[in-house]
Amino acid sequence: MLSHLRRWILAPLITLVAASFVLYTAVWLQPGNPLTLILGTRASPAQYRYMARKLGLDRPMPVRYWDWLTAALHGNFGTSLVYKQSVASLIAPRIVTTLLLVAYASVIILVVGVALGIVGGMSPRLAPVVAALNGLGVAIPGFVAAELLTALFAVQLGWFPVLGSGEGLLGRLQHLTLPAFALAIASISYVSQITRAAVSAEEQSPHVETARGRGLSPPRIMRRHVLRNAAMPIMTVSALTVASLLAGTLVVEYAFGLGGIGSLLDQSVADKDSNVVLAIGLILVLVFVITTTTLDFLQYLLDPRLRLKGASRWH
Amino acid sequence: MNGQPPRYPHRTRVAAVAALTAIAALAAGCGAQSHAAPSTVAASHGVSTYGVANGDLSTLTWDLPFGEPNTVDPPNTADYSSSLIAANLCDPLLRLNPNYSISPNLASYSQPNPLTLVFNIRRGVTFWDGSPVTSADVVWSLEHSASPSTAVSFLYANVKSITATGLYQVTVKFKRPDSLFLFEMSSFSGMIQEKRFAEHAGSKLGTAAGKIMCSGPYELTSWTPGTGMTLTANPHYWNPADRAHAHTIQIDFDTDSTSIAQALISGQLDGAYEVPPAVIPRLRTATSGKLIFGAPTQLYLTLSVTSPTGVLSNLDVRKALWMTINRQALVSAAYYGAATPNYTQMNIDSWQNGSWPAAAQKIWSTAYAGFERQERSWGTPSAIAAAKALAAKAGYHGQPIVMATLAGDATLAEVAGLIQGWAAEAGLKVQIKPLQPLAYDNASYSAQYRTGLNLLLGTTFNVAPNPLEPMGLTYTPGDPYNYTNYSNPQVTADISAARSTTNLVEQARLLTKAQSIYEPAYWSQTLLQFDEILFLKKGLGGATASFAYLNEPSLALIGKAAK
Repeated sequence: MLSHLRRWILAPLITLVAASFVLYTAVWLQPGNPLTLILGTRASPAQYRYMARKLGLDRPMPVRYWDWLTAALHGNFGTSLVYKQSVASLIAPRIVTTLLLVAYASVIILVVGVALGIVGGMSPRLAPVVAALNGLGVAIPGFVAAELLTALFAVQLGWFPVLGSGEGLLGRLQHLTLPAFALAIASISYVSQITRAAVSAEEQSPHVETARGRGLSPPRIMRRHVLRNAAMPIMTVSALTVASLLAGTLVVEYAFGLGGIGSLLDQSVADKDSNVVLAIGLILVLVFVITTTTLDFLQYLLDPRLRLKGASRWH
Repeated sequence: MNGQPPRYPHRTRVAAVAALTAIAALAAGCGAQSHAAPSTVAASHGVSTYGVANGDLSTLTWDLPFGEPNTVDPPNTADYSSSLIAANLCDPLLRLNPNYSISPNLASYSQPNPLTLVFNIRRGVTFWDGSPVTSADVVWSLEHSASPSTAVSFLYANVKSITATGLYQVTVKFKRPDSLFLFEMSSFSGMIQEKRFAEHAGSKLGTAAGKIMCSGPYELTSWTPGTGMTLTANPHYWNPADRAHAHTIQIDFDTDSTSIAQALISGQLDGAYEVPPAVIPRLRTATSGKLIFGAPTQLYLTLSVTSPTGVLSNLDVRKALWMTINRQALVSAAYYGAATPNYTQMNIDSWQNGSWPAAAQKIWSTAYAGFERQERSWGTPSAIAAAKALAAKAGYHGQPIVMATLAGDATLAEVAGLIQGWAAEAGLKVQIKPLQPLAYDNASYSAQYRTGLNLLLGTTFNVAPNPLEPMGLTYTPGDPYNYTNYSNPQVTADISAARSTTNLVEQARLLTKAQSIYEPAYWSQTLLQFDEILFLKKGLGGATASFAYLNEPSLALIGKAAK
């Protein structure tokens, strides 16, 4: 039990604290004085000293980090140096946009990616077409996809807006359709490729051959023997792909003028706005930690072989 | 020269100093009277106002290419975005007109002696909440601007006291005469907000959470971080000339040059100031609206030697470098015509604007013509050949010349690449060093961040539409932008004398005299004078096209154009 706690609770917590320290140090090791963003370049040195003292920036970095960490443990992530607002109030409206975008893109990735992969894995005739589509999808960078989609569907056809995140559920879905596709294209190819390989491998496996020999219907073979066994790698790759989307929204957010946490993170790194960088950085780390821990846990529960291995390792 | 704010970083906030650009009314010694009428013509190049607003709109959708404002508290408006919004929300005591002339606004003024300035506040003006604007609000606002935590406090260095001398009168006393102060009052440092509201908002003043209470043509009705702002017309606005033409303004924060262009082309956006030059070719052919290059501006491209030592301490080597630069080619290749070659350290629009009388402008233009004649051929093959010979004669033997530029700025990268190529033709080995935005801004005022650099390339601006200001910050000993410790007693004396006179013709004479001494030292060159790049949707008019848009309620002025 203790080892389970260590693996699923303590290790993720240590990862979070270590990530926060690395982020904090990295932000402050960048050259440049962030007070320039507040005072301009014509303020006197005395003014700079006054503001540094007022904002607590004249204290050594480890002291500032410790203060941040203790406040964060109490749920206070501080105030943005640039926006002079609580970090929570800056992130809250943006994270809604980013999460909706990621959710929308995830649905597209899972539905289209898995479907394409199954088709490619099952049909030797369509496999080269799926492989070619996958190659094309992986080769198109997000910003190029964004520009192409906008030029065609927003500017030429006028079906979707060019900018903004919209209001209300329908408005938001309409505004996020092109960004979600731009974000999803490369990942669709990735998930599709993994699915195709997994399905193809299972299709040729002895137990599927046996099932065919027993005269089971193709849909039943697909459902019970192919997909069930191919599900593990597909699930792992899909979960990690979806988790990584959160960190990859930056380009698409800029390209479609969406105020999400990706663009805020980029701006805050440039501004050395450390409290904002840390909060967003930790959200991203947290999503990864939760995803990988959950996957680990699910695999442990679902796969009896792991439980057996685990038993010999942990007990 | 002032700080070097990145002008076209697509994904970075412009440095705080850019806010000070809007204090463009700091014309040293310039009189309050208007010298020239604004040019209002239906053309698209070199105009200060574009079209005429004849009718009202329900909604104007406007983008801020520099992104979301970090505050709308006027003395802290630290970039193009926040400055533009503040200028539409809050009234300054005086008004800066499109041609840079000054007129009374929320107050008129009198100056009984050089150490006293009296503002008489217009009666009957109310804040958005209906409270009257009184001397208590004016005193609080000016003292707020003067506090050390604002970006404009240095402008109050000569102020001794700010006192309410009546319910509608405020008297400012000075420690020493300050001819600039009056003109600061047409900018952010002279914008008035409600004392009671501001004190209640405390540290949240001007943020999305705390907002602001002013008396301007628009009220800030919503601000969703990361998404946008809504400004709603103030139905009780006191000034019919600056009244809101659009009932609502929807502000977007898109910073990506490609999507800005597509949104302007598709008509989703009604317009934007500070359109990135990289998208000029696309917008030129747009049928949805008009691309406008406005003037005057105080924005320009400058290349400065960053240290008194190093390979460029040799006069002939640095002159050889300037001789290789083809300014007209920079205008065409990097700025697509939205700029003009400039041949002195002072940008042309610093003296070619409505704040100067014709006689003073004549002195400036005569002096400028001399430099232009000498340097116009620079960048041609024969000039590059001459530069090569000059550098070789000076003993240059391939030492690297490190030129810093702003990382992530595609336009500046293009300029840097062209300069590097031309220099190479003359045998000068220029190395380009992109700096991250903060390090780049810091390099403009701190020697610590200039270590290892020989040149700093960047877009910069004047706070005042007057060469006295950049000259006085660069060419006297101890100046913040005197990177090379330049010192010449005659130049120092001329600049000092110019600062103490209110006679603009005399000021022009003194400053051009100083210019004739320091220019041949070639420590710094202003290569281009920029236009303001504005896009306006078809059917709209009344837009301020000069850089004064940052000081006046420029969005309020935009309405339906006459058919």
